[in-house]
Amino acid sequence: MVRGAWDVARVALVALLAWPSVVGAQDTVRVESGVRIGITYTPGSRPGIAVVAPAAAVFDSVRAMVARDLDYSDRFEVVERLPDTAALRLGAVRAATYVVMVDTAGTGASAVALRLIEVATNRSLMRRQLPLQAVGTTAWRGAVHAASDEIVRAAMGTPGIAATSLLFVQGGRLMRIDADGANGTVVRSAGRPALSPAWSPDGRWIAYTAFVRSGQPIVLQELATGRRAVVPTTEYGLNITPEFSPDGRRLAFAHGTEAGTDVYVYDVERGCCVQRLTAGRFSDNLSPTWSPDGQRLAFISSRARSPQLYVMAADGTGQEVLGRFDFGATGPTAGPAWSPDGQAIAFQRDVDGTPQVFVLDLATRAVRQITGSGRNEDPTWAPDGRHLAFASTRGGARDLWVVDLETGRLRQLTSGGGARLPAWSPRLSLSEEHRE
Amino acid sequence: MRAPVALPLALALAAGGCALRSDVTRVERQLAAQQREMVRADSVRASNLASLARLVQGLLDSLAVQQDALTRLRGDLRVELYNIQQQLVAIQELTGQSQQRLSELRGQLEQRSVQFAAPTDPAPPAGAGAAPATAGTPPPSAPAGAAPPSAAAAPGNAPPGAAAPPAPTGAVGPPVSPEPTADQLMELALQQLRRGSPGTARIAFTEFLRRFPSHARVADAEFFTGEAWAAEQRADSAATAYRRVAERYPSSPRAASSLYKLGVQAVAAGRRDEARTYFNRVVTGYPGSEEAALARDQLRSLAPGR
Repeated sequence: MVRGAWDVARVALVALLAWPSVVGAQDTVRVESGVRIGITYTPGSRPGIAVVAPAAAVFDSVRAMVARDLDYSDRFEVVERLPDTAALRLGAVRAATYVVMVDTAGTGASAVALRLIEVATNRSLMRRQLPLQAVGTTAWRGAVHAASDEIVRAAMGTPGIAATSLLFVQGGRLMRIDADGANGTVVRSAGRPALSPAWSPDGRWIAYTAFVRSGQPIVLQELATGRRAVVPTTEYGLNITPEFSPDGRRLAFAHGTEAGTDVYVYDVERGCCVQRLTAGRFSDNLSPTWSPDGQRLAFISSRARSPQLYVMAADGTGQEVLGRFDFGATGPTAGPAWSPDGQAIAFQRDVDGTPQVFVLDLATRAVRQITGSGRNEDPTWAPDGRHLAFASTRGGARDLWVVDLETGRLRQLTSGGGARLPAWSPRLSLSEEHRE
Repeated sequence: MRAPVALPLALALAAGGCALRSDVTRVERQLAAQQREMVRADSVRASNLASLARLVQGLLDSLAVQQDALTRLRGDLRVELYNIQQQLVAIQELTGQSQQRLSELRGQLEQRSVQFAAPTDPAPPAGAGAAPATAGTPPPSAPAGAAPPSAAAAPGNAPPGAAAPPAPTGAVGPPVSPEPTADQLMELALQQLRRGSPGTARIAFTEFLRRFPSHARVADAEFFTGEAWAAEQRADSAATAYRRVAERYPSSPRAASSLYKLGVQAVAAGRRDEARTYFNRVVTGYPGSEEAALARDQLRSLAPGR
């Protein structure tokens, strides 16, 4: 019955799609001669997208997840979010540039098929099948998120961020949550509290500071197996803010002694060779963050008394302040995060004693304040380079929030309070299950 | 005959015995006196000793107090010294940053002066017709040269190297340099390097050195030429550039970086003696630099037996 209704609806949909494709898009899409190549993307514009699915629980679940993922990508205006496949709303479809159709794949109904259709041309831009036997599991959620990212890639040329997770600290525990705010879990850590979580570029390993009896070592932990290793020389003293290099071969972190705190680099690949990159000289140097090419490190230093943003080559040479710094006027700075495209660095800076999130444009050295309400700290970039997650008290308690830098749209990611130190994962591979 | 001899002897003995008793008595008195004297002397000595002991104790207490004070003073001094050293580092850092800001301002001034000195086409004869209007041209009522404070005049708004052609006659606006200034060229080259185009960056640095051979950032250009070579995995060419920086511009902050990088290159190539030489040059020549601290670490790791 459902199947029959869906067939009728699909025919109706295709018929409907053909009409607006001519009326609505002929000025921009019709090509009289020559070849139309590539994808047109106008920054700031959000094409409409509809997600339609037959009325069945599994389809509804997929439709809801995909619609939410597309909405959270902030690249579309999701115009159809209800599973009313039998009575497709003409207005909604007309307003859509794209339609995502959720359906069964094949005759055995052993899989769910996702298909992206460009309304103007009635062309199928992407098709993916998800095996039904894994429905409800974390792997299933990951597969749907990955399909959503593929939809974004097919439509906009760059993948979405649905198949990502965030690590953060809540009540001294290491937590993990999907980028859509679902599937929150506790990550078993070596000690408690655990601080400063960081992802390896392949998403398989994490690094964090564990508070154990002997000190605060940096611990490397494989997510799938829980296998752990302590970074040499960090067994004693305070060791914080680890950060993997973009190639995953090195790990930068801060090690504190009586003479100050310094940035060190550990050769993860060879499992040796910890090298100091800064000379404390009665100051604190910490929070290293790598440039995407792995050639430079930005970090925080208090060498000019007030902690400020600095940059150096990956071998520790050429250390200099980054951005405009007016002694006595520029507030203390912390928590830098280099953007995935290498064009900007996000950080927090005190404004009238309250930390706010800023973004420094490296080409112009212009600084843009992103937040202004409540305390906003610990920014971390999404892999798409346009979303930032940060800890904020704007809702009363300190929770994680996500902001889209292009539209300024905000959404709350966690609830319950006490969340801080978020670290956004890279895009996680569909074939790998990275949870314990 | 025997009786007359014995009698005087007996008398003498009797007389002698009487004298011995008195002597004994006297001696006893003397002894008693001496004993009293000794007791008194002992008492005096004991008294002296006691006062001496009190004196010594007082002295020791005083010394202990002094020692405490000294310890506190030493601690205070250490804290003060720490603060002073911290302030010195901060001053050094702020001085460096001030110099950087001055350099930026100097660059902007140069840019402005070049803009204002840029030649403009002679005005067309009256009635010859106005030049075609361009975007941003103010209304004809605006006086010539009275350019509005446009965004183009603000530093940083126009992308480096995006020099516009000379404004046509009649088009009012700030004259724009036909060629990038030294700072613009340097920024352009650095952007290319950061963007992963070391070859293009190297060409731009070479052009910088050709056009601005006496500019304050010449050492930077040489140094980043080396960095560009290094990004292309051309260690020998990079080393040549670094050596040139160290030899030609020893007072530049890039000199310490160059020597350090030469040392690191030598370590990677297994030339430990050569590496030690470079690191020692950093430590002795630039003891206050960050690179000196790094070089000391390297020297420790290169020590014999490690």
